[in-house]
Amino acid sequence: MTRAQSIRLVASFDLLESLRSRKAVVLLALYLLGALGASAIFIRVLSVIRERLEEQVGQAVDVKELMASPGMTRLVGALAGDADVAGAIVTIPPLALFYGWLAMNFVPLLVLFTSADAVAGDVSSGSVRYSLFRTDRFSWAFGKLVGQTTLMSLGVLVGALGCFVMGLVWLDGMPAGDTALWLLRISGRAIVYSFAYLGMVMCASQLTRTHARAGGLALAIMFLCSLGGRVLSAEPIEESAPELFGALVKLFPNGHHLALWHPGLGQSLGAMAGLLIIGLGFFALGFWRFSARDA
Amino acid sequence: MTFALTLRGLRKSYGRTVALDGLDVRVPKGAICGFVGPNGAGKTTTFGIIGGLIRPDAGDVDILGRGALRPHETPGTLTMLPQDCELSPHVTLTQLLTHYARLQGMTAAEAAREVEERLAEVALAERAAARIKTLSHGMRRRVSIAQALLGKPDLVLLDEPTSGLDPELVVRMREVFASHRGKRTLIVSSHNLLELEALCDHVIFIERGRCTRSGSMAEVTEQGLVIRYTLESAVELSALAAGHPELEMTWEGTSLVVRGSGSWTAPALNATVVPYLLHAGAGLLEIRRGKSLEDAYLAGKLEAESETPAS
Repeated sequence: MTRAQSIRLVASFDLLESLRSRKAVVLLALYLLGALGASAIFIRVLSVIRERLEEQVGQAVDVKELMASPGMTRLVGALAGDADVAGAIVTIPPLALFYGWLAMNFVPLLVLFTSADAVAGDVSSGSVRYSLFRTDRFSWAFGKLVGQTTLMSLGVLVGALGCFVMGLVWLDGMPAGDTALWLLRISGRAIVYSFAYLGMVMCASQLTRTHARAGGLALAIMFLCSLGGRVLSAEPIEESAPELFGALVKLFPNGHHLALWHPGLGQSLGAMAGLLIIGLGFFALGFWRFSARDA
Repeated sequence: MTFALTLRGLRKSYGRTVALDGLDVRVPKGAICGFVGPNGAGKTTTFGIIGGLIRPDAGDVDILGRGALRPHETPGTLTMLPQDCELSPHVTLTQLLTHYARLQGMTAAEAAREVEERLAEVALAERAAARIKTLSHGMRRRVSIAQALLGKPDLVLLDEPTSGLDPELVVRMREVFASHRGKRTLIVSSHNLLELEALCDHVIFIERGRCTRSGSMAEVTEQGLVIRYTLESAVELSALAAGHPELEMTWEGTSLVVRGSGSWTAPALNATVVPYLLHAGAGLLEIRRGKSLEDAYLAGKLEAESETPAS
C-alpha cells in the first residue's frame, strides 16, 4: 500500500465520520446560513446606497460603473495601499467581493471550532490506538489534514452557492455569469487563505491531548499570528526597515492578504504558495512533536 | 526455535514512575502466550511499545526478525486490541471494520469478506449495520476483538480481551482465540489466570517492569512432575516416605503436593499415592496435575519478594 493510498483512506474516513456525526452537516449549514444572512444584509445595504445615489443624481445608477469609476478606484487604492490591487478589486462584482471579505474573516474562526479535535480528540478517546499500528503516523496525521481541508473547502463552496442564490433572487441587475465566476475564484483564494489557519489548528491539535486544550492553543496561535502580522505591517515599523519587516511579515497569513488580490499572476500565485507553506509549516511543527510522543 | 517477538532491555518511565525497567522477553512463533502481572507491572506499556503507540526510552523490539513495527512497509503484520479505547461512535460496524481492513492493505472485496467473517466470529453479524454508539459495552468489546483479528496478522496483542463479557461469550472468545493457535502468535494480557491457563501454551510473568519468569505453560505449572492431592484432612505420611524416599512430599494446607523425579510418571505416582491415602482414610477430594497458574504465579511472587532486600 502506498502512502498516498493510506492518506486517502484516512481522509475519506475522517469525512465519513464527520458526516455520520452530523458535524459536517452542522458545519455546512453554518456556512450556508452565515453566507445567506450576511449577503442578505449586504444586498439590502447596497440597494439603499443605490437608491440614495439615484435620488441625489436623479437618474439610474449602475453599480458596476460606479465601482469602476476613477473616484472609487482612488478610494479603494487609498484603503488598500496599492493602486494595482485597487484596480483589480473594483472590477470584481460587489457580491463576490463581499463574500471574499466574509469568508476570509470568518472561515479561520469556524475552522478553529470544527478542526481542533481532529487529532487531539482521537488521542483523548484512544481511538487513535486502533489506527497507528495499521498505518504510519505521517499518513494518519496528513490524512486528517486532507480530510479537514476538504470539509473546509466544501463549506466555503456551499457558502458561495448560498451567496450566489441570494444575489440571483434579491440583487437587481446582478451579472450572474460574472458573479458566479468571481465567487468561484474568490472561494479558491479564501480556501487557500484559510488553509494557513487550518495548519495552525492542526498544529495545536497534534501538540495537545484534549479538544479543549487544542482549541485554546489554536486560538492563541491564531491571535499571536494575526497580531504579529499586523504589528510588522504597521507603517512606523515597516518603514524603519522595509526589507526586513517586509520579509518577516510574509511569515504570517495577513502578510499575503493584499497580494492575494493582485492582478499579476506572479504576485497572487506567490501569495497562495506563501499561505500554503505557512499552513504546511504549522502542520509540520505539530507533527514533529506528534511523531515523537506517546499516542 | 524461532521467535515471533523479542524484546531486549526495554525501558520506559513516566516522569519518576518507572514502567519498564530493562524488560527482556522472547515469545516463540505460533504460541499463545500469556502476560501475567499485577496492575502497573508494565504489561499495557509493553503492548503499546510493541504496537508503536508508545515510544520507549531505551531497548529494542524485534518482530519476526524484521526489527520494530513499520506499519507502512508491512501493513497487517501486527494487530492489537488496546485496553479501554473508544471506537469511533458514529459509524457502523461494517464501515469501521472495513476502514481498518483497508488500512491493513486489503482490497475492498477482501475487506468486505473479512469483515463479514470476523463479525460472525464474534456473534455480531446481525448488528453489522448498527452504529457503534448504539452497542452495549460488551458488544463494543467484541467489535474491538473483531478488529484485532482482521486479516492474517503474524502477531496479535490482546490486552484484557474478555473483560466486560458475559461468561458464555468468554468461553466463545476463548475458543475463537484458540482457533488461531499455530496460525499466528497471540499474546494475551489478563488478570484472569484461569482463562490464561486454559488458553495459553506459553507464559511470561512481569513484575515492576521486568520479566521474572517465562517458559511453556507445562514448565511453569510443573505439570510433568508434580501432582497435588486435595484431602479432607491431613494424614501421617511416614510409611509412604519410608517406602519411597525419592518422592518429595509437602503439605500446602490440606493439599499434599508430591514431586516425582527420574523415572516416575504421573500414572505411577497415582498408583502409589492414591491407595495409601485411601487406606489412611484421608478423604480424597481432588487430584490435580501440577500447580495451577495462579499458584505458580503466587509462589514466584513470594520467592521474588523474599529475595528482594528490604529498603
